[in-house]
Amino acid sequence: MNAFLASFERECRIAWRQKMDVLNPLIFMAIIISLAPLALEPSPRLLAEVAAGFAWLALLLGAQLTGSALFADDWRTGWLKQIFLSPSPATVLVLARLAAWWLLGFLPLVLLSPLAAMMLGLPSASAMALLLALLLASPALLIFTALGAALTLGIGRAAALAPLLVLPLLVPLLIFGAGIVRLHADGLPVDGQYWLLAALSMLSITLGPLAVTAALRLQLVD
Amino acid sequence: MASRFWTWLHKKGSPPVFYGMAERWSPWLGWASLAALVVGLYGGLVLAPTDYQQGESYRIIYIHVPAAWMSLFVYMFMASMAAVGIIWRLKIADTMALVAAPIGAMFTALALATGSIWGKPTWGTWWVWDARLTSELILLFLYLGYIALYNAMEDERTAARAAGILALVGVVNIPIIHFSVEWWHSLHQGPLLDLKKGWSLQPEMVWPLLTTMAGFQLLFFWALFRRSQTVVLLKEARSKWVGAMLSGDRPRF
Repeated sequence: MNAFLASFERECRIAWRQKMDVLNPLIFMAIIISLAPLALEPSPRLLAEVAAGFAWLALLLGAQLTGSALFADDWRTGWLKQIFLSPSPATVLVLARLAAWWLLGFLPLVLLSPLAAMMLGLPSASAMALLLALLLASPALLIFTALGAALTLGIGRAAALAPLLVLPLLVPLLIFGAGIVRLHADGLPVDGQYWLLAALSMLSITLGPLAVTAALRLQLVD
Repeated sequence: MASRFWTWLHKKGSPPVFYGMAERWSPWLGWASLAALVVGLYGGLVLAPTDYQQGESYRIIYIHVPAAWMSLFVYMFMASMAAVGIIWRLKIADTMALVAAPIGAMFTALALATGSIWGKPTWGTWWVWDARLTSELILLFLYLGYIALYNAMEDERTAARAAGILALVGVVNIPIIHFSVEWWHSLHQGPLLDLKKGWSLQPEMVWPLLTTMAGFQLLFFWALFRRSQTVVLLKEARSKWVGAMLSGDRPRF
């Protein structure tokens, strides 16, 4: 636990100092949202209808940008070797890294996306449902993204490959999550969908760090 | 007991023994598959009665349903082989997972293509963005991602491990694809076989379907063995037993 906290604090400091890595996905997401009226047509009714879906897409794509920064410098700084040499389990240290990135890299994205959807005309009651759905989905989203980043770490052209691997895996999240706003707007109960998202996130928090650690360990083979 | 099992498994998994086994089994699998497909397709395309609603076009299920079933089966097979490869470091399991991926991708593409051809006369459109169809398409992307990741890595063993982890994580999607027909009221029709209610088809339509399904299953294992043999030969090209086999000495399997 101490190792987790110490590592968590260190990761937060590092992420905080690399402000561009935190800001880039936010700017990227803002750009995607502002492209929506141009790509479709600027009619308020249409935009209000697609706003929630666009927020989901923007978050999924923005997360890919975060993913490419997640383990970027770890070869050079030696972190990758140290976590396996350390007396504390590597999985705990990986979990600390992920938790720090969730707090600094993902939470702003998640908080921004309902705002962005509201700018497209999403009613504020629906925006709250969207926010809750994105919050519940974000741990799973982060862990799948981290897995893609870890798997492609040793490959030079990784940037293009990781989203290719990760985005198909996010489909369950999208299927359960994206329907919430529409159901909520129709006044239907959405608790079941929230629970499913929470369950997927719990599953990824428990099993995901193991898979990410295994993927990172592979990079040390040669 | 357990240790004897592992000895047996590693012996069977050693390249020359596996190669010999595949060599002996492949012809049986290949011919049985051909026979099942010929009989099943004759039964389905000629003998089975015309559907009262869909007319003759329903007959594409004799390709579509087995292909769709195989697309899921091959993924599960690939993921289990990847798990065996990662946990017990059995090289032959890695090889089988690797060669299964393109076969699975082909079955998935076949299921999508036949579904699309069937959809045009029946639904009046080639494609709808419905949960079942979309998740089958996503399955194709999962296969392609697996293949891409394997090919992008230089070290063969690292590549097999990394692709294996990806395959295992992708298993989350399989139940979703499988149950999407029931969870969503999709345009895609319900399953043909319900364990509680039995078949929603006439018996004359059922046996050809079961036969083509068996044929596809056999076809998969035939292709799997043949492809694995090729990979084993490539990997072991410099070993003694391959040299002995190529020089015409009968190898001992």
